[in-house]
Amino acid sequence: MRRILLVDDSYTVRLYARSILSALPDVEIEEAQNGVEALERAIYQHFDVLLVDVNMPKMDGYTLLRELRKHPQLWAIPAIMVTTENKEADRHRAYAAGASFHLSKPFDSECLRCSVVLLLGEGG
Amino acid sequence: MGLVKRTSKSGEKRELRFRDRSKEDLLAQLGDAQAVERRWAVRDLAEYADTMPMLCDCLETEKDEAVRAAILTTLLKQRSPEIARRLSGILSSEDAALRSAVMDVLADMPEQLDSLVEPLLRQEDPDLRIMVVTVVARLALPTVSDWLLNVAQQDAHPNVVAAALEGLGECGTVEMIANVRAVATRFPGNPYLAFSADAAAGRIGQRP
Amino acid sequence: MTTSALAEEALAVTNDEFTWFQDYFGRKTGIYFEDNKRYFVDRRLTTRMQATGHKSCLLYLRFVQFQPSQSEFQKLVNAMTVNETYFFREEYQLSALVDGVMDDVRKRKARGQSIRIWSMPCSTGEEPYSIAIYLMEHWPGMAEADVEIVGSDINSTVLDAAREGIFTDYALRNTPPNIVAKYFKRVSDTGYALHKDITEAITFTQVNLTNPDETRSYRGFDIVFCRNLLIYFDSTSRREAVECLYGALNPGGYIFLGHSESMSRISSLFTISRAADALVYQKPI
Repeated sequence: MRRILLVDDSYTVRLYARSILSALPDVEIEEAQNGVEALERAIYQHFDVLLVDVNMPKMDGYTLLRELRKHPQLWAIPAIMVTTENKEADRHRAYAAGASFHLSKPFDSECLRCSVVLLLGEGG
Repeated sequence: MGLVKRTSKSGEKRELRFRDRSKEDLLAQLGDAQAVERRWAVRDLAEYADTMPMLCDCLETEKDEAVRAAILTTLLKQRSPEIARRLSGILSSEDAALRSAVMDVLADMPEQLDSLVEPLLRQEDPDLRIMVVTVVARLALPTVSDWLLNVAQQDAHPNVVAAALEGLGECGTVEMIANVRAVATRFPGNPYLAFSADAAAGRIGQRP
Repeated sequence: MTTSALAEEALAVTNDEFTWFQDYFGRKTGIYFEDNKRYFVDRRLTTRMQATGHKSCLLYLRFVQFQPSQSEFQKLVNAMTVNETYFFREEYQLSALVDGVMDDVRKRKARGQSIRIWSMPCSTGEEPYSIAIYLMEHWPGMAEADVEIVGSDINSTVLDAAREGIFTDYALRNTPPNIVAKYFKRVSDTGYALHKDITEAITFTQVNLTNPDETRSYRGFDIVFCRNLLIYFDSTSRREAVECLYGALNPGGYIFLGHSESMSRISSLFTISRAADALVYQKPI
C-alpha cells in the first residue's frame, strides 16, 4: 500500500486531486490543510509522496519542504509542489526547496497522475 | 535532588525590566543583533499605538520567525485600518512564509479590512487577488458571500475564480447555488473549474 | 432588596445580555463561550446575580465591569472556568516525558540548574502533582536532577484547593492503588490527602495567560503543559497566549498540548517531533 499526502488548504483542490489519484491501484490518500498539519501527520505515519501547495495558513509549502528536508526521519520523502503560476522562478524555487516535481494550477490531471506514478516507482 | 521549590533567584541573569526601558529604548532595541532582544522589544511596544508604523516597517525586513510572529500579534492587538492597509501591502512580498503569516492576521481583522476589500480585489496581479479572496473567505463579515460571488462571476483569471468558488463552498447561501453552478460556463474547457463550481454548489446544498 | 428575596428561578439572561457577556468575558480572559454553551453560562450568571443581589444581568455585568476591587470579576471567572480533571489524565504524555523529553532537556542544563516545568492551567492540582509523582516513579534522572514544578491558573479557588492537596476517589480513578497507598493518606470518607512533602514542593500561582503584564515574569521553563486551554480562546487571545508560552520556554524547551489539540491551527513557531506515543512541540534551539 502506497500512501499519498495531499497538502492544500483548499477543500476543492484536495477533492480534485483525490478523484484523480484514487484511481491508482494500492494507494491510500490522506489530507492536511497546512504545512504544520502535514508535518504532524508525516511524523506519525509513513508517506510515499506528498502533493504540496504553496500558499497555506500557518505554514506555506516552501517552509514545509525545508522543514521536511531538515528532519532526520522525513528528509527523503518526495514531494510535488503546486504553484499558481508557471514562471521559471517558481519552478526554480520549488526545486531549490527540495521538490521533485513542480506543477502549476490548475493542474492537468494526467500530469498529476504521471508525476505521482513516477515518484511511487515501478508498479505505480 | 528530586523536587525542589525555588526560593531565590540566585544564578539567574537579571532580565531588563519593562519599566527600565523607555519607548525610545525599546525602539532602539528593535535593531538589536539578537532576535530574542528584538522580540521582547516588540512585545513591550504593544502599548504604544504610535509605534505601529515602525513595527510594520520591521515586518518587511525581519527574518526571524518568532520576532515576526510577535510583531503580527502586536499589530493584531492594536488593529487599525492603517495597520490593515500596511499589511495588505505586504501580500505582494516574495516571501511565502511572510505572506502566509500576514494572511492569518488579516483574516482576524474583519472591520479594519472591510473598506479595503473592494480596491484590493481590483488589483492587477492575479496572485494577489487570489490571496485577497482567500483572506476574504475567512472574514467574519456579512458581505463576504456577495463579494465572493461577484469575483466568481466577473474575475478574468480562472485561478482567482477557483479561489472564490472555494470560499463560496464555505459560506455561500442557498439562493446562490444556481449562479455558482453557472460559473463553470465562464471557462469552458477548464475541467477544474467545472469541478469547483459543482463542488461548491454541492457543499452549499449540504448545509442545514 | 435582599439577596434572599431574589428567587434564582426568576432571574434570567436575555440574548443581548448573553452576547454582551460573550464579548466582555472573551476580551478580558481570552475565553470565548460559543452560543451552544448558553445553558452553562446562564446558570452561572444567574447564580452570581443572586449572590450579589442583582435583578438584571445587565446591571450585574456593569457591576462586574466597574467594581474597583474586581473581586466579583474574579468570582465570575472562577465560576466559569472549572475544568474537570483527574490524576494521570492523558498518561501517554507523561510517558513521553520520561521516555525522551526529560533526558533531552537535562542534556542542556548546566550543573546545579533545575529542570523547570510549568503546568498551565493547573486547575485543582491533579496535573502538576501527577507530573511530580510520575517523574518520581518512572524517571531515573530524578535521583540526580533538581526538578521544579510550577502550577498556574486564572481561577483562585482551584489554586487554593490545589495547595490544600485533598482529592476524592473520583480524581484518583485512574491512579494505581499502590500509588495511592504510597503518596496519599485517607482523611475522610471521600478524601485523600497528598503527602505534604509533595504539596509543599509545588509552587502555585495565579495568572491570566492572555495578559502580558502578568505573564512577563514567566521565563526559563524547560517544559510546559498547556492542555485543553488554547482551544477555548478566540484567535487574538490564542496568539497572545502562544507568545507568552514561547517566551516562557528556554530554547529547546517542550510544550505539550491536549490530546485533541494541534499546533496546526495555532502556530508554526514550534518544531514537531514524536516522543513515545505523543506529539511534542519544541521551541527551536
